[in-house]
Amino acid sequence: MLPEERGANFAQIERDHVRSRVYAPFDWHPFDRFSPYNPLRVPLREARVAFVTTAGAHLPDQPPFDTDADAGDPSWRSFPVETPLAKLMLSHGGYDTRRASADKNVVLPLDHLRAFAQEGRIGSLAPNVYSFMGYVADTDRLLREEAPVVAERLIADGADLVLLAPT
Amino acid sequence: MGLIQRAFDEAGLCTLSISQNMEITAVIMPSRALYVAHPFGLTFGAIGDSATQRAVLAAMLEAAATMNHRGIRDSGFEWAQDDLRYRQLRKQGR
Repeated sequence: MLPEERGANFAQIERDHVRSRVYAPFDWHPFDRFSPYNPLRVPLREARVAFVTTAGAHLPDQPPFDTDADAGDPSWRSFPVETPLAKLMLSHGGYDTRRASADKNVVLPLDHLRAFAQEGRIGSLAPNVYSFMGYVADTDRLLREEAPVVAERLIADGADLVLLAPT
Repeated sequence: MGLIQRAFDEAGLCTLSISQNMEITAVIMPSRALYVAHPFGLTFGAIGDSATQRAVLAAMLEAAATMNHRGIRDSGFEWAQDDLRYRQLRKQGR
């Protein structure tokens, strides 16, 4: 943590920003215990690795995420892990997608993940990438409907390990 | 991200996420997170910086394989190129 970050409560800054600018009812959904830790059951060199992003990535023929919804868009898209990064689009209201559009590996490092599989650092890649748009202020649908469905898909994909990257 | 991870954890999946904000991750409490102090939208590093992008991804895999407890691990990755992350955290920039 950089020295200038100490002493600032960024969770509170973020909450106040969302409340004042975007979605007045917003508050963090607090938890009093960690979610379950499920150990990796196989060595990395044998593991099928899945990747999940909140970069708002999608294929051109898929509907873009709704960047205008005050409460956010809890829906998700999936696309084959072999998809060239150049074919993917980014729709997200929470970060400047122009930077990531210039090099999508900064948020969605599929080129490197595919290289790791080829180099034998991991066993294989799960067949699908799952993508959300990170900013979701009203979390009920995300928690109760959308994310559990993606969990089922990841299990069906045979994922031994799921890597999740925010933006 | 943490909320999505919680749903995956509850479903029995082995997960490892990146946290870009320790305080928010500490509220959401997903099983295992790796703290990376990069700007939002540059999670794995700067444009064209393949070495750092690969290193962050490798750190995720290493944490996934060796972190045998719940919580947040500090990766040590920081951002010294400019004040983008500083401004983002204070809602003074995207």
